[in-house]
Amino acid sequence: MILNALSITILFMSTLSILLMIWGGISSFFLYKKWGKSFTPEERTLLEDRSYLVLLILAIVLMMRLINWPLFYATLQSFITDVEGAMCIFGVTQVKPGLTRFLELLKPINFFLIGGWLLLHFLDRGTKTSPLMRRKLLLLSVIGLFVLFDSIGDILLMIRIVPESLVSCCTTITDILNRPTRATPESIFGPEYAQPLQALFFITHLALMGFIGVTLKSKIFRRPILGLLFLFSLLNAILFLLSQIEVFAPRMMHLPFHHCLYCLWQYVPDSIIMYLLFILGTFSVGWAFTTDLFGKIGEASDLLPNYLRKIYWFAFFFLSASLILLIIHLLLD
Amino acid sequence: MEPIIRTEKVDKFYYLGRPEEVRALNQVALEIFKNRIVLLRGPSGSGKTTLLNLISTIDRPTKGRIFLFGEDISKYSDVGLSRIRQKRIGLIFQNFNLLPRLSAWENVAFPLLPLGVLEKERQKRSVEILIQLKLEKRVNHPPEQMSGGEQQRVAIARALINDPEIIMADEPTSNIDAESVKNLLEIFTDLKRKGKTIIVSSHDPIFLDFSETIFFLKDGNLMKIEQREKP
Repeated sequence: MILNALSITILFMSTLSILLMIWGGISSFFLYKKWGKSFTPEERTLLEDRSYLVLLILAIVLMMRLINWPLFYATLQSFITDVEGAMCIFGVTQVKPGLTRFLELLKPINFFLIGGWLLLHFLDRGTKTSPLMRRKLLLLSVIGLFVLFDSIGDILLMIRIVPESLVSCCTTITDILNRPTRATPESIFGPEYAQPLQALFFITHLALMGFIGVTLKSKIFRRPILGLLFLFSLLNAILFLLSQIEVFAPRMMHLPFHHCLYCLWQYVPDSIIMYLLFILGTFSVGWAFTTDLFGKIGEASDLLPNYLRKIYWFAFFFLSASLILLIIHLLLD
Repeated sequence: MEPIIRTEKVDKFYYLGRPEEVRALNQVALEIFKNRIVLLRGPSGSGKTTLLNLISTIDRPTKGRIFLFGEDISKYSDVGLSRIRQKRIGLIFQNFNLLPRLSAWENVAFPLLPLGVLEKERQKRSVEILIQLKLEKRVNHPPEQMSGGEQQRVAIARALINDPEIIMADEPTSNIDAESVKNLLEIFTDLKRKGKTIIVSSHDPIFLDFSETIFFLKDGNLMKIEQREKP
């Protein structure tokens, strides 16, 4: 185990998350079961009082997990000097590659689920009768499982990454000719895939923003359209990732043959802001869909169109901002 | 005309099902119309304050339904009820419940905080109301430097800061002198002139001639309703 301020923080936050989530997840499930039955106003007060405590504590846990995502990478970054052969975060991820990949995949899913739940919670807070309370409690118990896996995974990883581990540098994986991120666009566009891939990303990104703009202007939020927008934003995210690895990251780092995103974060730290904005923009499109999926009930339905409009405005803003940052970087090169 | 407040067979029991069960309100059904001065009258323990707490959304009934502004609030969440209190009901408590150490204007401005009103605007609006209630010399004084009557006027100003449609006062004359009682009645008359509905819970006979609708309560039961001409 490598002990430093960041790893201790992760260990502390994860232990706290596990303890509170076990209690909160079970409590929210029992509250969900009770909430379904008809109750008198006084029983409602009692259930609400209990729910508020559970929601408050779990909201703190969820916030901790949101912070945990960047903290996770900051911690891995802090381990670089202790892991032999590591030049960037990639090297550290190779100490326990399976577990690290699992956590790297789980964290954005958690971030998406937590963000979606919080948006649902704020929608419910805007109503008079709290029609989403039951769904919120059930979703919370489900998200709790993800949080538990994430927290346990964090603890295991922190324990199992030992100093003086010997790993290979990122170049041995990310810069090889038959890397998957190269093979996919190459199979579609041929050996000169860089330009078409870059163009395709810009077209898709602008098209996504255009579709969001049209949706905002039409003020019609039909679920199939929201679903298609979400799928389109996922496609855009895949293209973003591919074009970043294959085209933009090497250009921004001024290392034409180096394709490691972890190195990009070291060489161009403000690219992290661009990534964050892109993630928030993409997730906002997804959150609009999930909010419509789970929030269309009773009184909340009336508030939904205006609420979705706000989420799409955020999506539009974040996606525009990330694109502008990317263009600035490319122009400055 | 639709009543602004309506209760349907409202019960309020404390310690329900236990040997020490208290039946504070029993099958209370009443209607309160807009722009009236209403008195809830009865001896100590008759259920006046309990009823006031229920119709002011501070508490919930054990059984029965309460309609506020035409809407059934029985299904409202705690947040929904708080929002009604925040925007449409002004409450004046028996012991004023002013925050010590905060100045008069800060106390008055307090309900504007959760609404996100900026400090400058909060101060402007609070001072305006304090001036209307003849407290211009006490704007920056904390409650402990004021008389009972002045403290009550600060509490009234706080109740009025959000321009509520209904003002509810629990035993408003119990902690003030005769001169302040006179002032209080003047303020209530003025509020009625402005279209507000005033509901007072009190056993003070001074309100008998002053009120237009009187609900007489005894042992949690609504015994009698009296309608009078405008004072």
